Amino acid sequence: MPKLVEKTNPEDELEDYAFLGREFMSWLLFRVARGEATFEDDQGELSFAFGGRIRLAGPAGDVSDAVLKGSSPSTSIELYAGLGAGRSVREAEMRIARGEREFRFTLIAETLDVRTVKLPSTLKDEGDDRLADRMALLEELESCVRTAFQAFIKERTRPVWQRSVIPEMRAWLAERLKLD
Amino acid sequence: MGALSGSVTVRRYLVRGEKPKDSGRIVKGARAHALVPIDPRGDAEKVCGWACMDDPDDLDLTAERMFHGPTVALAVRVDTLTAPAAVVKRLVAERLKATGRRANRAEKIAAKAEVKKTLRGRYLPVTRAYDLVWQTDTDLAFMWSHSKRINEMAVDLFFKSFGLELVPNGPLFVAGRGAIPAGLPATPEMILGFPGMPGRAVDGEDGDGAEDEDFSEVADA
Repeated sequence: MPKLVEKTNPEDELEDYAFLGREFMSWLLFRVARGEATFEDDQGELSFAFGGRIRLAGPAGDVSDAVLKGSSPSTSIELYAGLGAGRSVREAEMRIARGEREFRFTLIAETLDVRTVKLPSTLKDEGDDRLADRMALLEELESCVRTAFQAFIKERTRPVWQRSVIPEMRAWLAERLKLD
Repeated sequence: MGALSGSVTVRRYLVRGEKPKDSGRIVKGARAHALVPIDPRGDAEKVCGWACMDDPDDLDLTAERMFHGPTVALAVRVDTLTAPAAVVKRLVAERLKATGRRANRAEKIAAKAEVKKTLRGRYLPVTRAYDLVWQTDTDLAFMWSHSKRINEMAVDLFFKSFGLELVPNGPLFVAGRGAIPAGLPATPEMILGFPGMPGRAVDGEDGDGAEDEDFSEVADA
């Protein structure tokens, strides 16, 4: 087995378990492609979808970073080729739908921080309530990401990860790239 | 774009340490480290301190302005007073040229410092404010910036003001206490590429033996 030496930005290494954030994004792409990106928490069901921008990065090769933009980069040949070659998603535009609410945001893989979040428009105009309302919505978004990440960790820490999930991901990429 | 309006860009932190028992101590800590505006006659090029979130020009921090229920709302204000580098460079060159000889390193440094000092009175400080929300009931803090430098300033200011540490809330904490076992290795395929795929970094199989690893007991804990 080749020795794993992951080359990343030194800044990334300061983050705790940054590689799990990157693996989570690949897993989520796989789950979305299979129509299995709906999760459930104590407030009901929530579903994930990818938006119009995905940034990939890899440890080696002629291309270290690639930004895929368009109507559906999550189903592009460039993405499959990148994942197959060992590149990982560093950030992606995403949508989470829960009932009639929809959150649009960019998720940063290494830290699971969010950027340019467009909160659902259920807010009051001004005053003290505005901060409370916005924080409640932000917490709801955090909770959705946490639910999906915990589902990933549950698979990731079991033998099923290497026995089933990784071979299935490989088969998915091979099928999309018309290999085998 | 901040806590009160616009799109949201935040970095999340866990607040670690013994929290002050009454809100008065939190207000006192913030007031002690409220921003002190730059004095153009002084030497400081950059200062950082707390300001009111709803009006960063207002440095009068009161409990009414800071507390929204259990939530503390503040702004990290950073003021910078520097002359444009191109102007400094040009004036230093003119000054050194006037001496009529080749300046040594010490003379260059002295000329630069003198030019910078002369220019300070001609420029106004540039003010930037970044919102910080601290939920005292859940021990979570949200910083409205992804800039590494600004976040470092905020972490430092928070510690000086309240004696509490801000720890980045990354995958380890999102997963939940004890959910990620120590020593969990990265998935080889997601670094080296999947076997048989074009552009893969190495040949051959990998991940051999990894299927024997079972961390589920830890994950279920």
